[in-house]
Amino acid sequence: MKKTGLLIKDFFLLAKYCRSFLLIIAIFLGVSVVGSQSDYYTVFPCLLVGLMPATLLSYDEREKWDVYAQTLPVSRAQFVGEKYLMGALCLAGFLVLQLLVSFLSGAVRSGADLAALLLVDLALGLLAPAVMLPFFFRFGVEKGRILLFAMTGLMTLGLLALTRAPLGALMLRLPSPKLLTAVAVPGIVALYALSCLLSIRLYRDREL
Amino acid sequence: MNALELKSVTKHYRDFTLDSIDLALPSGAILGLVGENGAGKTTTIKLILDMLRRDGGTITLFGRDARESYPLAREDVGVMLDEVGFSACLTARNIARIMRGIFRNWDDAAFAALLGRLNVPENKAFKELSLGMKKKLGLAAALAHRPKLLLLDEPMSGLDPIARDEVLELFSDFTRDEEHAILISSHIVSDLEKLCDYIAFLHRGRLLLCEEKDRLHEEYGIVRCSLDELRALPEGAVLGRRTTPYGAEALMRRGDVPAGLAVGAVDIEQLFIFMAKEEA
Repeated sequence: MKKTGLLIKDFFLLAKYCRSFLLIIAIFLGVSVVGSQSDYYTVFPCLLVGLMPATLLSYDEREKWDVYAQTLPVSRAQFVGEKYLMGALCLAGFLVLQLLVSFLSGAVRSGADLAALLLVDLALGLLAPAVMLPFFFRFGVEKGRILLFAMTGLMTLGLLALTRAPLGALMLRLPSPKLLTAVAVPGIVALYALSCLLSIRLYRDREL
Repeated sequence: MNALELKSVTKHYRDFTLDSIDLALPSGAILGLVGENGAGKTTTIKLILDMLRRDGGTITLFGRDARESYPLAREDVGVMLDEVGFSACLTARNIARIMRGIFRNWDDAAFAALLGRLNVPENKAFKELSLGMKKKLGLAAALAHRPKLLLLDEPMSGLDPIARDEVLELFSDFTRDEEHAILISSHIVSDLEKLCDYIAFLHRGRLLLCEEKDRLHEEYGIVRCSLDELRALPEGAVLGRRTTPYGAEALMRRGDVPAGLAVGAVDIEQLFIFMAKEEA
């Protein structure tokens, strides 16, 4: 069964609605390799890329495309899967661009630099949608966002209460960045896949 | 074969129940679903499309369970909901590109011909179109993959009389093929009266009747009489009534009208209003 139409639709939306997003990403990317040593300029555009599937879903809901799509020969699993695929494609495009710019500017000098950059980007770009999208698919973007904020707040409070430590002390207890990246990134990729399966399950039961 | 069949379809909400709906739409026919706002027309269409979970009953499309044949059966179904659902930035040309990647039978030439026939511009963004143009674009998209069944929820609302006439003509052309069928919901009863072969009345979630339109005209009539004559009519024979300072009108089956009383013709709109008020 064909579903390329869903991807094409989202690429149209990306080109027409998300130009400012793309511009910000390009500026930050440029600054990260030419002007600044701060990781902020690398991390922030990657987070923006991670928000793309949720942004596209919110447009779908606002314009009732999500309802219309269910009148087409498109299963709910395909509708959900396309958003995850779109997220992965956006991130892949960003990574290619970032690597290109980094190589050209000489910001990446070794294999270790390259691996670290890739792994951090992958983790950041996938974690946000992996956590957000199941909420959005189950409750809709507006209600899902509120529940997501509430859950994040409660989890933070719970974590702090459990450790009985201030945030700074908590950060010191985390393993080394290398170890963290090596363990966390495959975990986050797996989480992204699991999140997709969960979203499919949740969206299947939702009434539109 | 019936293109669409609903048997005892039920959906419960906290404050509304769509109660055991039975409908059958034969191929080659047009069924008009008439009902006031909130009667359950959109709920019925969404249940057919499996957008809502039904609490009971069965729905078949071309003889196959609608849920089991989903989403493949949608290749043969064209849908236009009350809100068309295209992204505001998309043009008709963009929509054709998208649909080509969704429907196996998408026909660009047919889409272009429909846009031309309905005077819908190809390069204007959806948000720049009038409500009528948006509806016509939705209709062109619903027809351009050569469906066998059209499900249309309030397709005529927002259309001016000329556009409504164009659209009615399009529907008539569509059902010239004996394999084609249309389920159309509307509260503009006069349009349905012109177009439909079958009429179903939905009122507060209940199906009051589902009959061939011509049989409705043959079977029902309005008796204009005095209040005393109204009171003398057999209990249960009056299906709806209206009293005025000058007399009364009663909706009856022609066969139940006592001798000596004249029976006038009833149109579908009057029939629905009488029946719905009697139920209230």
